[in-house]
Amino acid sequence: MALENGTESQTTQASKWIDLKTLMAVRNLQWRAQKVVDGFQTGLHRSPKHGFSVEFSEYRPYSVGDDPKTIDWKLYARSDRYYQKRFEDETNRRCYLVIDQSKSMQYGSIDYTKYEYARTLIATLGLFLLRQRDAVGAVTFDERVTDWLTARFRTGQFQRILSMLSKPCAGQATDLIAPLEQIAQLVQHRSLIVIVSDLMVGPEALKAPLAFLRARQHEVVLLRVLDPMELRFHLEKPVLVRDVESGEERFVDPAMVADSYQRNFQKHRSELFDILTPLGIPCVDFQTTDPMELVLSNFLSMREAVGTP
Amino acid sequence: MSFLTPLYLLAGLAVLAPILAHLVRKRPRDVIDFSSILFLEPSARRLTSRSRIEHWLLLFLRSLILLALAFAFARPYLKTFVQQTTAADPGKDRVLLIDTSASMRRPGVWEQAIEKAKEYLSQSGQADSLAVYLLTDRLEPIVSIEQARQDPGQSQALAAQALDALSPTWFASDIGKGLVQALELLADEPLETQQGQSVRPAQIAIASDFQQGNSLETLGLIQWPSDIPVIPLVCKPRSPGNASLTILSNADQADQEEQESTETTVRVAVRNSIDAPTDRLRLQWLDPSGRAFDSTKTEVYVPAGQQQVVSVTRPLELDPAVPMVLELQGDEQPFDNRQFLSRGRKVLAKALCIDSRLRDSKDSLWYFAMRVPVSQPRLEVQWELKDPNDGLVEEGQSPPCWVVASSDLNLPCAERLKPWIEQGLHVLWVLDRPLENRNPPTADQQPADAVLVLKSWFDEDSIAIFEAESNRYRLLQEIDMNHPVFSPFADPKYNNFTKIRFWHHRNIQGFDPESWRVLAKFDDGQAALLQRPLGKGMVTVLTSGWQPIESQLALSSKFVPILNSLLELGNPTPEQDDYQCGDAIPISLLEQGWKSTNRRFDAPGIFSLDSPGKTASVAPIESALSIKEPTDAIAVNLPRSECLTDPIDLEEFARFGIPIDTRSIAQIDREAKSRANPLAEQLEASQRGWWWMLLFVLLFAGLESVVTALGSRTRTIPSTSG
Repeated sequence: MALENGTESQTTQASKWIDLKTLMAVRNLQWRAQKVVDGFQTGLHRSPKHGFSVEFSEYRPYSVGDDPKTIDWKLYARSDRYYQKRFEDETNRRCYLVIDQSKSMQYGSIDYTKYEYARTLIATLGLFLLRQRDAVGAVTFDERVTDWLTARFRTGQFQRILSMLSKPCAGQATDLIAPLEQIAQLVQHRSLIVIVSDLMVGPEALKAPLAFLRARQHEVVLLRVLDPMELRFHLEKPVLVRDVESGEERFVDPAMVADSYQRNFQKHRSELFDILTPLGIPCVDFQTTDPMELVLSNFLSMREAVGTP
Repeated sequence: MSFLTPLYLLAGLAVLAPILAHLVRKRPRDVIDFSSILFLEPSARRLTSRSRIEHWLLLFLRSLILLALAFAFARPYLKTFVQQTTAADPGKDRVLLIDTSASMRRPGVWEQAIEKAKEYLSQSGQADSLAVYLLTDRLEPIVSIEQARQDPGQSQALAAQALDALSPTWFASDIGKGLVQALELLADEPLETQQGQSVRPAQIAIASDFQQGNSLETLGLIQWPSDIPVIPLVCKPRSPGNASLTILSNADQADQEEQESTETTVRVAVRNSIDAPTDRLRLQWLDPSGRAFDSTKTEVYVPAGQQQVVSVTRPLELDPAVPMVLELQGDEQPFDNRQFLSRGRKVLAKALCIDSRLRDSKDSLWYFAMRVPVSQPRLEVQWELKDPNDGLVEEGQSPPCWVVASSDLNLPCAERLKPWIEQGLHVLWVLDRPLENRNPPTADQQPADAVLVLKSWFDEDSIAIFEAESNRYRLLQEIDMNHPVFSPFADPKYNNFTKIRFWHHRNIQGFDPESWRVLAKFDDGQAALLQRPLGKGMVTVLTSGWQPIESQLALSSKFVPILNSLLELGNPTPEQDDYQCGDAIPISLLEQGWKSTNRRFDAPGIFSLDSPGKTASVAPIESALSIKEPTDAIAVNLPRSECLTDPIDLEEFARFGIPIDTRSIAQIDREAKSRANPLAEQLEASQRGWWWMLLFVLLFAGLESVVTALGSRTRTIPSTSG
């Protein structure tokens, strides 16, 4: 998990990956996504763009009971044998990229906010999936679904996703329950739903809507984006801390709250995983300092585990 | 070290403020935004742990600033210097004026005045000279300023002793006049200190009720010195409010008949003060001894702060000349609730006009003289026209009080007048007929009748009377404005005599200028009006007539005043019947046996002129004789100004530039105590301790600013929002 080895991996493998600080300094979201995906794919395959293995998986002899429409008639004409032409199933998978636009996502103790990181991540995933010829849709939400792009694989879909992500977000509070319920109602076909959020809500509240999504046969992946400050809460002196969502102020003496913060954070996390694991929903914590490639790699590895409770 | 105003040291307690601020300022002013406070537990404000003071230097500097400020205001000085120079205390001239006017008789006022006066006396320093004066409409010394200056210690003891024996009088008070007189007393002999340089400081205190009847206008006439403060010791009555009554005079009634008709009713003005608790009052007639004539009472409704005029009917069965008392009932301040009323009987006087001409002839003196209103409220003049050849008075009748004679006056008639003149008769002899000879008569000529008349009266041989040239009219000049006849015209508005033209006049020459007084001359230098006493009486000669054929005098507006003045010369106005306390007792009354210590009416009441052993120093009512018959009596009333008891606004004094010290007695007392060392102020001023303290304040403030600036530069607030 990135949470355990995020800092270490960032320092040891920094030379392998694109410098995140430089990447985030570039305003063009499309450029950012392309650079990450290109770099990532370059790392995985020598020449990912050669051949047509992207579409074609295998030939299999036809057996009774198989769908006759899968028979490759051209091959039958040449060889007088029935062969089934198999394609990669994932290529036709619908994928919805769901991004949290709440006020808490606007927080960032480093040069960029959590939302900025999440946006880049979404764009990267989107591009990556589209290049795999997946139908990709996008959903933005704060306390309700604010924008909706149905999953398609067509020309310009990536641009649509980008333009949706470019809209300014005016969200206030995070309420995952109502948007998830809305998404469950809107997504008719079985899909992969990737939720990018900081999950700053009570874990119990998530249980019902996520279980509902799972019950609709959707695959759900949670990418939890966290600021380094949120992971290691540290203040130099007593201050008033204001919740960016509720505006509530709370006096915080760093000497007193350091331990309790970590305790509460871990407790929240374990409660969250206690709920997600039985539902078969993988969840990864990322820091906004983690390289995009690492997140992408984690995402791919998670996909394999999706659906296994 | 001592302090001039040690109470300011309490301000040093303000040093607690920065200490508390340094403790309480723990509430962070920095607010940082955070994504969620879901995992943050609220930290309790642990004062114990946060009571640690972080900026000791700042706290120290701030505390020093406050302490130095408190020290500066307390005005420190070193006592050691004081001891050496104590002997140089020049002391102070203090004048205490105690109002003893009638309004001080209100319940509680006098006791307060004495109490405050004693308190004031007790504040005097040993070197202070203390003069005490009683304030009415003049100042009367108890301890004079000269006495006080000679022996300051003794003067305070004397004053304290005298205070108990004092009591309020019935006189009016005049604070303005009193203050001016007190200032004059202080300025008479300004005492110098031993160094011979500075004048002793002075102070005037007034223990008074400061009622509105006091006139302050006199203060406008002088420039009050700013270094002499006036300390008002204000005395207030136990109960508020006061109603008073004033009997309005009927004497100003123009019509004689109307005046007589109103004799049965009396117009009374009833005034109620602003703070009056009641507005329903009653009026009742009493006899001079204080007993009610009957049970009739007149109800009067006077709202607070207003005045009502009501007509009160006298008891009908009594003669108008019976002296009476009108009492106002329902008011809690009794000192001004009685008005004494006495209408003396009129004196009848006979005036003769000696003229042989016809009664209705406009050429006669009589025609104009009898039309002059010479009667007065208590004097009724009856004119009689007599021929010089007839008897002047009937057998057994008293001689006339005044005689106006024309040129018809002959020697026999003059000789008949002479004894009366010598006993006090005044004769106005008007030479209103032209004489035949126009030149001074020669020795062989028979002298004119006029000359013979003068000769018979004054035995002067050299007098010659002849007709003056009448080719042009003559005007009056060289008028003796100091003489009672012309003194009413002394004002430049009235002294224009150029409109009175004299067509004809007679010259009198050869009279003795030592014996005769020429009151006016014609513009040809001849005497117009001249006077000479004869025995107790007086002869006045007018060398022209007032008839239109002789001059324009009778038609002039100045004729009536001149004739009245001439009449009054021989007939002084009979004694008034209405006096106020404080009025001088007329000499005629003193001659009749009135006894008085200061020749002033000093108590209200009704006093019979007929009864023996009269004294003005009596209590009213009780000792006045019971008079139920018409009689000659005089009524002495309270001065009207004393009835106006609403208090003066002390700001009025400021209007005249008088520095009023309105501090309470307690404050003044504190100041007196602090003046145990009288030169403390001077020493403090010379040492300038406060100045140094202020310098320290500035120094510490500067240091504090530097320390704060350095502190804020090194402090870093972490950037938290992205």
